Amino acid sequence: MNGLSTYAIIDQNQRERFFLGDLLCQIDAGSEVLTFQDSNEFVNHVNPEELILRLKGAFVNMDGNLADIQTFVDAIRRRNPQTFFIGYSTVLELSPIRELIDHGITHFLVWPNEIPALKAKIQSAEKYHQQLAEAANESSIQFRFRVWHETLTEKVSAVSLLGTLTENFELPKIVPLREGAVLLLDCENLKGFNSIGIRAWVLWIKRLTLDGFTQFIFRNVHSSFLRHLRSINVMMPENGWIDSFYLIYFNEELDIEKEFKFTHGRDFDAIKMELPLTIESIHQNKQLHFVLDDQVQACLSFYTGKVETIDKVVAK
Amino acid sequence: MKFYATDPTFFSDVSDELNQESQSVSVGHLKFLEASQDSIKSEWIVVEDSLDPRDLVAAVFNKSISHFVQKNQGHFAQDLKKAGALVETPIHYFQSGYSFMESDHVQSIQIFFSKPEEKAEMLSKVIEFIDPIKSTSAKEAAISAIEELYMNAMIDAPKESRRLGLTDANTRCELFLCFNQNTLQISCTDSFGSLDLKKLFGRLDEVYRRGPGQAINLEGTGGAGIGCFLLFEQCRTLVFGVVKGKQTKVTGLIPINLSSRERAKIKKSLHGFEVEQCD
Repeated sequence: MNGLSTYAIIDQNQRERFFLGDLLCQIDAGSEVLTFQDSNEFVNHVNPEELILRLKGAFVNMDGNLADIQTFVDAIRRRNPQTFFIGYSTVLELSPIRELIDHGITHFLVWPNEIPALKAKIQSAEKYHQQLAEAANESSIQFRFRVWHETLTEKVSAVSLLGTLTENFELPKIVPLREGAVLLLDCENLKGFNSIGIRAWVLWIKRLTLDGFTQFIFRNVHSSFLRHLRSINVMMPENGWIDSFYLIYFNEELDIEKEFKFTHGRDFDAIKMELPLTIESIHQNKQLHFVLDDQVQACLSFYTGKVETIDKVVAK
Repeated sequence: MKFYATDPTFFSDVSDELNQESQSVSVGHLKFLEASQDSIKSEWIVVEDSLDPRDLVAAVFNKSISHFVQKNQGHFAQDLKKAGALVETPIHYFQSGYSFMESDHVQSIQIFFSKPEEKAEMLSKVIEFIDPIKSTSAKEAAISAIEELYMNAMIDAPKESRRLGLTDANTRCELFLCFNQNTLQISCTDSFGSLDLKKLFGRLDEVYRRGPGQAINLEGTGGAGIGCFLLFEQCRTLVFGVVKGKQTKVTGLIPINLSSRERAKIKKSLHGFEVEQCD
């Protein structure tokens, strides 16, 4: 690790944050560690903008106020997307993990009282963010396909997919830590498939099932992938669920398309799928009227039968 | 053109305009041709106005139809004119840079490639070329179509050519794109001429009948027609032309100024024909 690294710790418990700061200094003697009890104290720091720009990593105690943590993470990610986040807790529970993943925390660990575990987690988070940054810096993701894999808990693994799956790429072998595991598939940066990629995908899902994953959660599914999942039904396993997706809305006046995201629990649930047929949204400082552009009426039954939250799936 | 329909109003919106066009070409409403008991000849243009892709493909496959055009408001006369040209002078279709559009297309590009290493560069040029098109979903449709055209030309065609013993083919492929305000044309030509149209439409028919999820071939590459299904899903018109042993040219016309809901309402057209030689 680089000796000039700056880390921030948000933890309401003074003893714990000092202890963690101590560990970080032992791992990297030259590092600067700043500790805060909450996001307010962070914002009131003498120069938070300057601090955010040089912030390499941040540690958040998940036992604290989740909304406060989310505010803190969002504020940093907007200004410095290179910063990695590690959430920690005495007991890792799925509900806060799910909330925090949505806000960009990618790594989690049980209360870090040992240097080797903490060091390994930091290295993993650094590598992950470096890869993401490299991927984002390349000119186009049309010609690439990448998969990042992370074990979140003994029962839940997560993969992030980026690019277009074609004949030039392979999907990785992922083995769960135990039978009956859940795989969370983040499709936010998944651009598409060609016919060879679709075949590879179907085989991969079958392989994962054989290797012990029994439930699959599809997150941030874009409308083009939704159409594939609907028309080529074997792309979605029987025990697969969608917990957030995008639909295209269209503004006829300016001939503009815009995707809007819908999340389970906030916009719909497994029983009720009444999505808005029109949405008013600001585009280039102008309020525009967008009309649902997908053939959603025909799809609603498909979506309704295939949506669920990660908590309920894990509990199944 | 000569028009045949049991309902005299069926062609009334275009018959006056097209009477003087392609005078040797016959255009028949599918219902009329089915009632006439004779098998449909390859030089006929068959017309309907309400077939979904599944029924269209079934008709083309089961009745060996070469040119099937569906009525769409605003495009019908133009689509019939172009189909007439394909029937009268099919050899013109194989000319480099052949456009289905009137002269109002704003831009065109030809891209040549001959090996897999050139795919990324080819796609980069395509992405740059179609950048002025506003609709993101139309651009995604174009890229998806090109992925399948590339697979046909670079992977399936050489394999089929070897199987048929058609050797010594040049592996150079040509991609031609042009667009106007309404439509993006994508044509891909290979130098193998190994596409078996009967087999292709049979596979496509199977995919639509059984559903792509059931028809997908997980045992090896090729065979299930999923690629052709994905290609046809993106296009309002799809044209397959083959000069046996010399050239296969596939053209897709993609609407670019419609919402995907409007795009889904378009009735598709499908052509598949072979010619003996091309000089």
